[in-house]
Amino acid sequence: MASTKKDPVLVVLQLSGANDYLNTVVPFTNPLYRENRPNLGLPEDQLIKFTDDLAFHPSMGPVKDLWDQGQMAIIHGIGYENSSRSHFRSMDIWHTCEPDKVGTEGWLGRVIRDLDPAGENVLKGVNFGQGLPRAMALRGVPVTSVSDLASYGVLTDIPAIGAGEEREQMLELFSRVYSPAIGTGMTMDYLGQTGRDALKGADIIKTAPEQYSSTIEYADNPIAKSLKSVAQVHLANLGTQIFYTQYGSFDTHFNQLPTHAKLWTDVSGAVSDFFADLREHDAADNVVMLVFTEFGRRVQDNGTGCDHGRGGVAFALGDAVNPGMYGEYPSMKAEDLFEGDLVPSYDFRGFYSTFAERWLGLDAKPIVGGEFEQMDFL
Amino acid sequence: MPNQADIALMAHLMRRAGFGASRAELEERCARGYEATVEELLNPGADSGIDEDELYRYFPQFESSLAPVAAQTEWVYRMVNTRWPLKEKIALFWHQLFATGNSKVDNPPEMLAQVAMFRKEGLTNFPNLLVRLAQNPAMIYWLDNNGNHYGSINENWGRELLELFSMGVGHYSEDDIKEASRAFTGWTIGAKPPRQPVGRFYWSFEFRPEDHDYGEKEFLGNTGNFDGDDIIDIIVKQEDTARFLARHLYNFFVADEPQVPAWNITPPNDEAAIDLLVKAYMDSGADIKAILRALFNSDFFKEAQFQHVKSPAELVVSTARLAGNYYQPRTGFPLLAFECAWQGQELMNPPSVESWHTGSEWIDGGALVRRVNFAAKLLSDTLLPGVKAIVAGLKERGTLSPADFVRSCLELVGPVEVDDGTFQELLTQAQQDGDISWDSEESAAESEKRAGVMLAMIAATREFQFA
Amino acid sequence: MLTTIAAGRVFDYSHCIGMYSTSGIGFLVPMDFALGSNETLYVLNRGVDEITLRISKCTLKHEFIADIGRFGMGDGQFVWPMGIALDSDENIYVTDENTNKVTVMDKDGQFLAKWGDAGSAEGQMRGPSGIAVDGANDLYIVDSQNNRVQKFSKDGQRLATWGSEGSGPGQFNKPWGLCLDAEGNVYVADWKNDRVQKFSGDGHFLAEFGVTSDGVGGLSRPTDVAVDSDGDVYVADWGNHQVQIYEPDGKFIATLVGDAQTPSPWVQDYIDANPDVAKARRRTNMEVEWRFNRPIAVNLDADDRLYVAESVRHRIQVYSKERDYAEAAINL
Repeated sequence: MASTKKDPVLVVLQLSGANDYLNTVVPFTNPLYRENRPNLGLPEDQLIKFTDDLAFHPSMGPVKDLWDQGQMAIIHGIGYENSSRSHFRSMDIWHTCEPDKVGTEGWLGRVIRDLDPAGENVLKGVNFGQGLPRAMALRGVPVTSVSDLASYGVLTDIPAIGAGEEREQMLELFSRVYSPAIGTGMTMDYLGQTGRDALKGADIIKTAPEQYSSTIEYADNPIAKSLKSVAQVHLANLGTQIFYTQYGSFDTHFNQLPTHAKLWTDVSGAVSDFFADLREHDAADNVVMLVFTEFGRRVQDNGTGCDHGRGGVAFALGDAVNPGMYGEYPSMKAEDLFEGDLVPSYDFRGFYSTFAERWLGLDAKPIVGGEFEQMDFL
Repeated sequence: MPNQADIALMAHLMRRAGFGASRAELEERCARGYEATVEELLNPGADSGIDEDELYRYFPQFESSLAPVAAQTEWVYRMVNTRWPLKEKIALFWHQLFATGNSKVDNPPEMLAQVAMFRKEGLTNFPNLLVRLAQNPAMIYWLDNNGNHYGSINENWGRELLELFSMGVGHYSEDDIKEASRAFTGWTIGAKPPRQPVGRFYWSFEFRPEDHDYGEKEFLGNTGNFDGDDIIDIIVKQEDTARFLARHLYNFFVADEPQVPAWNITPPNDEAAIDLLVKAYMDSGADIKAILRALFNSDFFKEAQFQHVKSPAELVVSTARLAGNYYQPRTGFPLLAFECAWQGQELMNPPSVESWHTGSEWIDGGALVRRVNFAAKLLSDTLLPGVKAIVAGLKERGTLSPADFVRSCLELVGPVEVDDGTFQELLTQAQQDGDISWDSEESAAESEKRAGVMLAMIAATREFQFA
Repeated sequence: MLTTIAAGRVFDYSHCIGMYSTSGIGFLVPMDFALGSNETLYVLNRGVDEITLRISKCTLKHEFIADIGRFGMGDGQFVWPMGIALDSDENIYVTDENTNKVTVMDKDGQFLAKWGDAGSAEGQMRGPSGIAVDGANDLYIVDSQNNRVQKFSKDGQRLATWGSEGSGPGQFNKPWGLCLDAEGNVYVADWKNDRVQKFSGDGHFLAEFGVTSDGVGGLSRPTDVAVDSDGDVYVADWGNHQVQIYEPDGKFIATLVGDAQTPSPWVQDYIDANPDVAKARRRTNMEVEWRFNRPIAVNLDADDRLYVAESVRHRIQVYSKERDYAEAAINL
């Protein structure tokens, strides 16, 4: 458990669509890299080298800065046994920690329940994006999902009502028609409570952008916007400990070179701006970020892209992170591959457990469904 | 002119057996009569409302894409535009009961093919449907029957067939599961070319005799060299099956029941209703139409208005139908599909084989805000054809007192029945601006605007969440 | 069969171009295509749900050149693009069935102009789809929802209008594609009437062929038509998943069903990089992959090679018309 008075905060960034491990953390001295990537191999002079053998993708300059500042851990060869090559299935497994059956409970849902067993703070877990990721879904655990912080709330974006006085009046009417005095029966009561809570939650969260000011200018792309929203809510001290957001699609079967470069330009800039923003407000020390993807991609390229693979790479970022590399880059030798894929060497549930136990101070076992090797990046 | 109670009852039928109907359609149906409408829903005319050729001309991605959203959008398009509402509704019912998910199947075209099967076979009879289900490739893959081999059974399909799809837990033994699983060995999927990189190919059911266990089985007290069809024949003759299906039908079409896992300890809301449906099942040999006919014509159905929380698909589709701006090929249908997902019902991707939890469990804070904002935005837009029709209906009623204005809006948008307290609040709102009149262009414009705001507020009420 | 011999003609399958792809090499839901100079190919991709829409510019030799345009209402953007044609300077004309506009771009995709008004008065359009350019750089456009053909100058001045709703001669039911022959006659794929109609350049009805049928010589929802230098007529028989070939007078000659037994080089690269895909292809009968699935557009090049685009297969199959073919003995 980190020795900080402030509650620990975890920000999860999901790289949807399967980020290509080999072109993210590039083993540029390995001849097998060149051999397998005749079309996608990144030119050595463009790479951002950080060890004698490994380099970041050319678009990851801001990430390299975090590495240099000792704010970053790289977790090699992450995945799980009998890795699924289906995005949907694999993402489900990462979300539920259930590789053998179709699970419904999200691991972060369990985290949020354990952080706030009474469910007192509907903002304990906040997702920025459309719909709730299964990772945060757990019956009875209220979480807030915000597609757009600026327009979040009841009766927003309705031209007939507008955003002014008329809407205020409508919201008052809304709270009255959802009042306990109206309606009978359990379902009506439940709807009333939920409606009033939603109104309250929206009232609270909408104060976040109002209070916020910063010299950091985030780029104009969805991940930058999401992480800026995370910063705003975090800085508003609303008690949120789990943030979730995602970006993609990293599913680069085709035309990978420009697509992947753009994605990492966006992600690197956004992540770097996010931490700079928190530091500017002296609010970075209790925040770590978990970056993951559902699996890595095929070792051999397919002409202009590469296909679904297995072992991948994950990152932990933040002041509290013990920097360095953890685990081993899986072998690229043909005889060590499984159907052309890197074989995962580290179970993601150990990665999760490290955050749950060493950062959030929770018992990881029930959260990830068992005991898995933790690592010392926290 | 039909009376208000007839209209309300017809609206109830159309909400449950379909995805709602406009005032004009309700009046027309009332003129034909309630029972005639039930028959028409069960045996609709030749025109489905969907021209299959035009569908794929204007939406070529529906048959070319591999993406989940394309499959979801096609289904939403059909739900919104169908003239066979009960066929789409029963497809949704079977999808929710036989919950198969793209999270594992990872093949949206196959999921859509399963839904098409529900649409086509959904009003036949239960044994036929179960056989089709057992042979449906998406289901075979979802419940691992392709891994169910002679001499080494995989029980997943056999277990869920009994537990979740027919009899319900507690009415069979673990041995019955094993024996049923043996009977379905060799029921698998034929190989097909991979979808990448030249697009989709469909799976087909394949029976492999060399992988089938032809031996003797004991199942639910019967002994014989059963295969899958025989197992289904035995299952559908059980009263437990009739009771299980009756409770599902009641929960979907009549009134919200407790969730399935509670069924062994919590009795049905209405035992007599379940008994009536069970009798219809047994008398008809599990004929779906016969059971639904009994259901829709029953008093318990007619008395169950607004006792069912709309699922996201019901809310999104019925609101889009009412607003009337999605009546033909256009852009924007993917957003309706996304909206279902964002409200908690990603079509063709239920959270697990135990399906979505229904009733009040559809609602959480995020879902409620989405439901309110979605419906209020559409119904307050007085430029949309369906909303225009509502405003025209108001106008026909001439000058309206605030109370008549609120009452008329509630009637024309549903009718929606609201609590007295809700009505008083809406009335207080309406009274601020006095009577509604259409005398001058200005007053008509003002009245139209007020109607839009009032419809938005009705869409935002708790009562609007119910069907 | 790879070689189809009928009525003294020989149609020989050559190769295919394309693969499923969201950008770069490959296509996604091709609706139409045009053949440019120096073996360039412009493929109009509808894409999926408002993304991946683009014109793929590549060569007949499988070299990718550029993606042009995207979804939207702005200049150089499309909503429901349906038809594509090139003028003598290789400027690109694209019809949009949703916005009722024709967009003009240069061959590199630089936006030049956009014109067209929605409506049913003469010169207005509802659902413009098929488009062809004549020798004078005038445009013939199928005005589909108005059930007529209109001729425009290339800057959008109406020159002629003909056709009305119905099934008689000169009437249409949601027509789709069209083409011109060497004499300037106009052939229209009369989509919902399951026929092709032939008109003189000024709109006089000359002939019709095809009947509603999935049998010999029949058509189901034909989407496009092309005429070779001998006057033989090729029809994309979308509903029957085949190409029907007729003599100039409409007598039926032959049916092509698709013969893509050898994958395109792009597809082959993909298979080579994916051992599981290679395995999966070996364990099944691949014939279904060879066959046309929604042939949607047909064109011919100067050598009478036939190109057939398939919207569900994201590729173009190429056939040559062999003129000095020596038949092998039949008793081999």
